[in-house]
Amino acid sequence: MSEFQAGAEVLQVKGLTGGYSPRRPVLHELDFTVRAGEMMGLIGLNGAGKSTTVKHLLGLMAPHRGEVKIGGTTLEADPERYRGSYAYVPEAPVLFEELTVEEHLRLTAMAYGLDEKRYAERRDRLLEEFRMGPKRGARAAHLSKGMKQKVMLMNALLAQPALYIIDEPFLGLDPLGIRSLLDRLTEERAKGAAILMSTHILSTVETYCDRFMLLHGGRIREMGTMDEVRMSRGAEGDTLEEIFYRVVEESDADGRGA
Amino acid sequence: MDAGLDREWRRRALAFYKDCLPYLGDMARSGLPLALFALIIVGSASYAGLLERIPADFPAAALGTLLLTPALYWNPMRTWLQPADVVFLLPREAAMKGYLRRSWLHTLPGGLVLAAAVLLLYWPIRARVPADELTNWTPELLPALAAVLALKALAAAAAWRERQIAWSASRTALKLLRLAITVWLLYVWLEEHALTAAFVSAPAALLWWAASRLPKRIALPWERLIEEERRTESRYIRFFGWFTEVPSLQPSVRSRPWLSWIASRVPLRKRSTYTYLYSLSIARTELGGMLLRMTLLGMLCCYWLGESGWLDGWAAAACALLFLLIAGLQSAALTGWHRHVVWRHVYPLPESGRLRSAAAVDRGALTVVAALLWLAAGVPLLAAGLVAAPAAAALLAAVYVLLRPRRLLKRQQREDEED
Repeated sequence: MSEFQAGAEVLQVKGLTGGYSPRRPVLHELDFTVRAGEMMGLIGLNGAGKSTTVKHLLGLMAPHRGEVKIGGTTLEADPERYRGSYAYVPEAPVLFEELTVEEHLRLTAMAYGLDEKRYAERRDRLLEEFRMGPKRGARAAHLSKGMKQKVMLMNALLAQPALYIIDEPFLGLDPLGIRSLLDRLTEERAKGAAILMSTHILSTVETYCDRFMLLHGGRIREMGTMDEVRMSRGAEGDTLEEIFYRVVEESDADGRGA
Repeated sequence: MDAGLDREWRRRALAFYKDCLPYLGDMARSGLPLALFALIIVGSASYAGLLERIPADFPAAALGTLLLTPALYWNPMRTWLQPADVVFLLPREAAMKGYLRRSWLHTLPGGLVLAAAVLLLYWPIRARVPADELTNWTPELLPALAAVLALKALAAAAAWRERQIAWSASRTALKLLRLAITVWLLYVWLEEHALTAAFVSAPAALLWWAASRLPKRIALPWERLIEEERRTESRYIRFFGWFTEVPSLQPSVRSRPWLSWIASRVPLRKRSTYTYLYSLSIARTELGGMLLRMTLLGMLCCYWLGESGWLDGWAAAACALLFLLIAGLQSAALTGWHRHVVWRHVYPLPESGRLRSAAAVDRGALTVVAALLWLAAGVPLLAAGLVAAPAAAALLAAVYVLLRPRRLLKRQQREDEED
């Protein structure tokens, strides 16, 4: 359960400029927040800067300028609180080959300081929800790609942090897995979690996300609810897909594209 | 044979040996040739001494079987196949026969030479033991050599057939059958008249062949060969890693439930997170297997030396410490593991905890290794009334195990800073 009041800013990004080299920034002056009880979609073409943004949020890359706060603190000020406030699901599953499904869950429970009772409850529920009960003793090396992705999601959900950072969660998932994930994310949101989800599946963003942010060329081109974006782009009844293409084309036309 | 595939086989083989060359240079510089030379000199001197002391009732055939079985049973095969081959070479499977024959012929001569070398080294022992009391027959070298070479070639062919078996249970059963037949035939060839031995060999080989026809087979077991190639390559790299810096590898993993249950005893609490992870890593990866083999071999050597009471027990004590040091060199790799995983940055845990946990798991494992080695050396020595050597070994082993974590941590921190 999130410790934040609904509407409180769990993730705050101010003036974030970053990239691999200070001479060639990939991200330019990003300003956004994700609030408790809110699901934010992060969309953009390949190379738009989505993964770089995520890496900066995780603290894997240092910003050239600007600040990232999670749970009210920066990574430098309180690393343990910062990292304890989010769970991360990477685009490609990163598991320990020598651990079983259940051992991964136990490891996460230890890292996030769950007690035995809460761990057992959440583990059993997740194993059932993601239909991974029969695979609980299987080592990561013997799982299919989709199952590995399920294990990543289960680990994130087990921690129940204030913020979920999820990168392309639907790759390799079967239809039931996608449904379970979306249901669970909706449930976590209702409980007060903040969710930042990077994905290419625009219809899901349109249906499930409260707000979205369109990155192109390392800049935020659009941000807001569907209605707000429709208003600003002046096209009532447009789908997100139509808006997406229009924004990308306009950005390219005025020379600010990727 | 498909000329393109033939060229590809030769290109891959050449690339592998080219990659090995720099490591061989490092090995030469590490003083290994000198150590090997010394070992050969000392070994041949003590072998000659040993031969003089062989009693008439020595079980020479049993020892020969013990020495030759691994040389005959173990049949590696270099195919150079890689994961991408299931996309790019799979469509040419029909033309792969020549490619695989090349692989088979590439490894077979080495195996034949090894088997012949073991037999020739062992033969003086066999020749020392007079004619068998029951059969009144002393086997001759040439028929035995011919038989060992023929059995080796058959075993290599059988190993290929085993790779083709689709189900792992059938494959294991067939391997066990081959192991049993190898042990039996070797014993017969070293003990009985050549004609008798030839008479039992043919039906035994036929029995195995008939059994191998029962389970379903895959003409070209791509995945198994790719996995075997990966394991072999990582074995080479690990071996070179003893002498020089080598690229890091995906660890090969085994389940080992009889060892990994220890990790489930780690309490569920934040500060034990990495202890849990490293306990499972050491139990399931090749490092655990290596420590285990090293300990068993060390225990055997320690026990033999302890039993003989050589040099008033100091030889056994030195042997125990030597094996402990080697095990320590191996397990030091643990602190470098999981250094580059993303979770190290994601988990809300301090980095120092990871290193401390790795060092603690390393110390735990080495304590067990030290205790087992000491028991194997110390018990026969104490029973013989020799106290000084086992006491000194216990003291030195304890000092080594206790002081080691600080050195390990310092070294790892230095490496991390260099990164």
